[in-house]
Amino acid sequence: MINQHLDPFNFGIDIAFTLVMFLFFVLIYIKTREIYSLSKHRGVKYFRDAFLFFGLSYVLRFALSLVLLLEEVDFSFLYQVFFSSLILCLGYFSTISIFYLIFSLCWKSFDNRLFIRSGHLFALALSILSVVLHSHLLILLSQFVLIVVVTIIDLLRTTRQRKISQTRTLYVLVSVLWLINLLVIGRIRHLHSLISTFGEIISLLVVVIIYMRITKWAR
Amino acid sequence: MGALTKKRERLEVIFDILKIISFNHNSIKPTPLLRQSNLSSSSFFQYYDDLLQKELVREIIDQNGSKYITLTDKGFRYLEKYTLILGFIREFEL
Repeated sequence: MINQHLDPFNFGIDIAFTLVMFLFFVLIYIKTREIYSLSKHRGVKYFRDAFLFFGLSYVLRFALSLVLLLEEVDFSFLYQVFFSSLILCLGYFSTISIFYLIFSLCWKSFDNRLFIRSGHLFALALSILSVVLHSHLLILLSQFVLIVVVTIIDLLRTTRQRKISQTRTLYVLVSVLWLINLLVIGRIRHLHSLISTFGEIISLLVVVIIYMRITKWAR
Repeated sequence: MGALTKKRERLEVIFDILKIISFNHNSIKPTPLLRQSNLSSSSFFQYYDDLLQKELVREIIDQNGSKYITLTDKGFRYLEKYTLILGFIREFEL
């Protein structure tokens, strides 16, 4: 049974938002294909992969949102497998997309392979734990802590260099807005539709800005 | 910051090598290319192997058995897009 709070109009906005976000993330991945193909630059690789995974995460977010709108929780085996797979993939893809954004900025400063493996392991562990706890909130909390820690470290670095980067601000916004969009799903989205829609508009704006900046260089 | 500079130089070195090949009517022997590239022979051959692997250049053996290096279509595109590639990397701090 579908939840009584489901508003078809808000549902329509959610579908449209997911599709447009996915489209822009995929366009970013496609637009940067030649730059990577020619340069084989690792930073470009991580940049592209981050946005591709974000696109997938938004689709999975929408799928999770649909599941959470069910009036009664179904304890059938098939439902449990589906719900667990959703949480697993959502947790992994969304966490690794944030990590890849971080990798793209600092891959030169760290022992690459160790850092990347650690990121994948952390994302996988987080996803598995979320499946065990049967909730996406652990994903939300962990990603929030990750973003805060990385942002503070980066701010301390840039303050010393007296340089505030617009690009890094955009990256932080993409990540934070992802968290907000992940929080306001399911029933919460339909109960607080004005806040949700506002967040979605800002998210779209940020992604469009990034896309427009890419098109300057990727013709 | 040192690592960032090194990576940008790497792309620049590749550009310089490809440009030399292009300026020599897209056909040059390895030894003159090494000379003109201003690289040590070990660095040059590292880059050279990399260029071959990335299919930016290819080797041609003529009827006398002499080896020449030429640009591939991808190599030409690299020359054409170099400024854009650098601009993108700089813009997104990659």
